[in-house]
Amino acid sequence: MNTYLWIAYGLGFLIYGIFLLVCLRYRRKR
Amino acid sequence: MMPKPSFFLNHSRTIAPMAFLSMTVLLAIGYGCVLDVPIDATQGEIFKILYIHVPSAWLALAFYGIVAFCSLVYIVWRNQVAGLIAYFSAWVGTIYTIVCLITGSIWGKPTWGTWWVWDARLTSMAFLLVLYIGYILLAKSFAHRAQGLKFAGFLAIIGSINLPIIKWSVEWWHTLHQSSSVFRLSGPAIAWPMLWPLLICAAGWLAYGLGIVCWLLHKELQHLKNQHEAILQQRSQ
Repeated sequence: MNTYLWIAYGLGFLIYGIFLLVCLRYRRKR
Repeated sequence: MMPKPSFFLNHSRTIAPMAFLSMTVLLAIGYGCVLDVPIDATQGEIFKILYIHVPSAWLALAFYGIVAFCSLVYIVWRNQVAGLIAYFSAWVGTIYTIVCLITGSIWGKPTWGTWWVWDARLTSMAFLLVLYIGYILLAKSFAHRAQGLKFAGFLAIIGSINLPIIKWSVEWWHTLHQSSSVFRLSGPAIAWPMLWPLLICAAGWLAYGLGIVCWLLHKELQHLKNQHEAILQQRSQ
């Protein structure tokens, strides 16, 4: 597989995944 | 007549898990099919970046549309839920824009020979990121959230002029970025076996964004409800 393709998919899914986890764990401060 | 916040509080609780479930199914099918998609004759395998770059770009624009529209509803009808939807959509839109710019840049290096070039499409997309970040910073920089959302809303509405500029930048100027190949008056220029996995992936990432907005909206409305009940309880004592 193409290295650029791996990097693009890796970074893309990583960013989407981290943001999803941050949102799911989001707690509203008082 | 606008629905009440309780309507959104009840429905966002059920919509969010359904959206995340749809996201999982659609992305599994979409990217499963991407493995079998025929390889592009000129670009080779690298063209498959399309399946993460293009949905991110479409949704970055679509979510900016949601931010601008909900900001308008918030400013004109003072609907609090619309303000919150605009704010959370801006966060999701920022992520779509970042992924679009990064994956586009990684695609540019092997195909164009450069990571970045200041052509009309890339510059207008970078400006979209600036607008998103500006919206979020402005919304957060006031002591009263209502005021922050109002001023940020004005920015979002004025900034929506950038949406047609992004869409038609590749037609109006001679750019390095290729012109539209899906949303064209003459129909898609992309072959069907390559197009349909793209539409499924885009639907999956749309479910991702809608799920996150519903989830955050539910948390926020629940928090406001708890706060409201605590005040009422204090008063009655």
